[in-house]
Amino acid sequence: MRRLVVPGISLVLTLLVVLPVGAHGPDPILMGGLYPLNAALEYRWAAAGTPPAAMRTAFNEAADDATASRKSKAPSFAFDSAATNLVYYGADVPCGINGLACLRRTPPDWFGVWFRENNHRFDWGTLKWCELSSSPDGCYEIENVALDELGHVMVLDHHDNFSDNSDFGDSVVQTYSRTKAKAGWNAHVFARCDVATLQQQYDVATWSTLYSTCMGVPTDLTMTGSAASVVTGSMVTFTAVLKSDGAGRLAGNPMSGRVVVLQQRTSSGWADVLTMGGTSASGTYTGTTAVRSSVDYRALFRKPSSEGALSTWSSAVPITITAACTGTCPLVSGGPTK
Amino acid sequence: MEPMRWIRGVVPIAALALMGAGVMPRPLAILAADPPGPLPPCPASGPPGKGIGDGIGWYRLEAILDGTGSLTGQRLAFGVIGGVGWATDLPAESFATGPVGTTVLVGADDGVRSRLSLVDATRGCATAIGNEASVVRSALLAPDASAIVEHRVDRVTRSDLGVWRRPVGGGRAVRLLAGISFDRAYGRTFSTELRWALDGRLAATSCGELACRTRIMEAGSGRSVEIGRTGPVIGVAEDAVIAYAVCPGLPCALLRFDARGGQRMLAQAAGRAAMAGGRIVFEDATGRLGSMDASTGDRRRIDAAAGLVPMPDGSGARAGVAHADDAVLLAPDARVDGIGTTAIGRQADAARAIVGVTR
Repeated sequence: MRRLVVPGISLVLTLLVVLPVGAHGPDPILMGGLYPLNAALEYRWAAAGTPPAAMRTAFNEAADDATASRKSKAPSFAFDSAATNLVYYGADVPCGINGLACLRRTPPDWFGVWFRENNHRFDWGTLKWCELSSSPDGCYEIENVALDELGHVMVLDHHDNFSDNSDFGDSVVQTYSRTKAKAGWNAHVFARCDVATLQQQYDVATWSTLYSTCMGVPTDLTMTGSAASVVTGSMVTFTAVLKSDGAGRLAGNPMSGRVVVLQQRTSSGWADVLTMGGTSASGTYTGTTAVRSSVDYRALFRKPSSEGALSTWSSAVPITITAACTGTCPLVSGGPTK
Repeated sequence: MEPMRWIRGVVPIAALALMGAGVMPRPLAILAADPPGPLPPCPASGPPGKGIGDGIGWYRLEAILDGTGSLTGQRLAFGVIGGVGWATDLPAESFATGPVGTTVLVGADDGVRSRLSLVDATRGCATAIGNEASVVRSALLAPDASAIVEHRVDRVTRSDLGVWRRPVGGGRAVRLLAGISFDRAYGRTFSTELRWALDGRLAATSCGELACRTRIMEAGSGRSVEIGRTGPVIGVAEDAVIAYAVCPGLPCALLRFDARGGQRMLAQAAGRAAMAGGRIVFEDATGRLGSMDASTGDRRRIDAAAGLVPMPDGSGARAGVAHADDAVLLAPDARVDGIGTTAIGRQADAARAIVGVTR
């Protein structure tokens, strides 16, 4: 696998693996590649290690959690008794002597997930799965750990937390699982830094899907006017196109459902004129206003607190008044016409 | 093509002879009540067998789960190749390692005491060699069968009590390594694994939920070096460990981590792996078996039967077959399971069944 680029990748991998990384950002990724966009991955229970009923239920719920919270074209998960992907429960876990669960992934062909058995003895004591053991404090929740494993299946590696773990809630795919009742022990949705990586690797689910706040995606805004020169009071329609300008799959995506504002230049800067409305064309917004003097207009996208897309604005679009209105003039009553 | 010269003496000559005949005879039966009871004590007739003439011992542990999927115990099956097999039920906190010759080291903790015994795979009996108030988590029999090394934790606090050496013939156990200190970078210790290096040094690998650190101890001086931060370890090579990177699963990079903090990438994407005689046997990203010299990186392909993967060794293994130090066991799904566990032999086409085990 990629042997020709061993030295470079080795260095990167070594740094990722060994150095404690304090940087906050999207989850790292695992080696081995990706599944096709929106792949529907089905799984079944291993015949030689069928999980108990409560674990099957919890895993199915985690599959639903993963599918519902991916906010990207990352794979979806569903049970199918004829599937080739396997979920195993028991003592014979192939991934080493430690850990609660582990996986093996060879996308796009196959994945397997292994869970250690309830009551497994570790050096620190006895493993209790909450769903299998009346949920005592100190138990691990299957649904949460399964969501972590499914994140790995997709491509996510463990989140690089701040040294004080203050950002633990930014990722479900964590190096250290938390037991009941520590914060995050029962998280059931991918958190923002999980989603960020899924979006980077698999693209956003739809053009109106918000970009994760765990990243800062540059954006690009262009605007045109329906006329460059008009008589006073004429209605001019402006059309703006908002696109992402990130790397990889986040480059050139139309961005629908956002708030794009039409602004006009004033003596002290720029002032909002109106909020442009979305159209049926992806990432396209329009607004119409009456123009009473020669002035520059532009479109503005302000970074919302709920999204990781960065602010941007279009180039200025000058509208020139060619003559005063004579005869029947457009009706203008004070402010801009919406 | 891997010529397999590196696995000289991979299995005893008797086994090779049988390999030449194809699949070896299965044991006549697993002799055990249902459920299997405790093993009878061995008659005091000298040390347990470890020579070729006594046969090739094997064992496997099976988890016993109740209707809710909770571990209630473990069933130990064992025997000698081509001979009769036995089974006995152990408590949940139990282990088995080896075999050395025909001797399987077994630890069983009933919640009050940890009891250690040497199980004779030829005769189906056990010789008690230790009884501890602390919990013996795992242990290994020394290659010369004169002593065992055991890892203990405190019964109440589960704190690490270190690694101890216990003479098989009786006598006081001596601590070789102190309990490993807590390190936030690793979290609480999930498992500790012991393994012998070819040169007789002992490696103790303490793993948190994800990452591990290994202490390698010289038997003579007691001096130890610590190597971290790694994933699970597959072997020791000089002053280095061969270990996975810190990964959530497989495939995962295999690296050589030395005691001075240096690292060298050996394989970017490896599946299951084991090490013997200075060579690493591993699945590559495509699932094919290959081997690599741990020092030089020299790679060879292994033309083994499809579906065979390396069996783990060390005290964390759940199955084993007696084999030479420079051999690696291959088995379907890495288990001594069902019929057809295989040890790789010296011949190029020697991936043949040497153990036939019936449930």
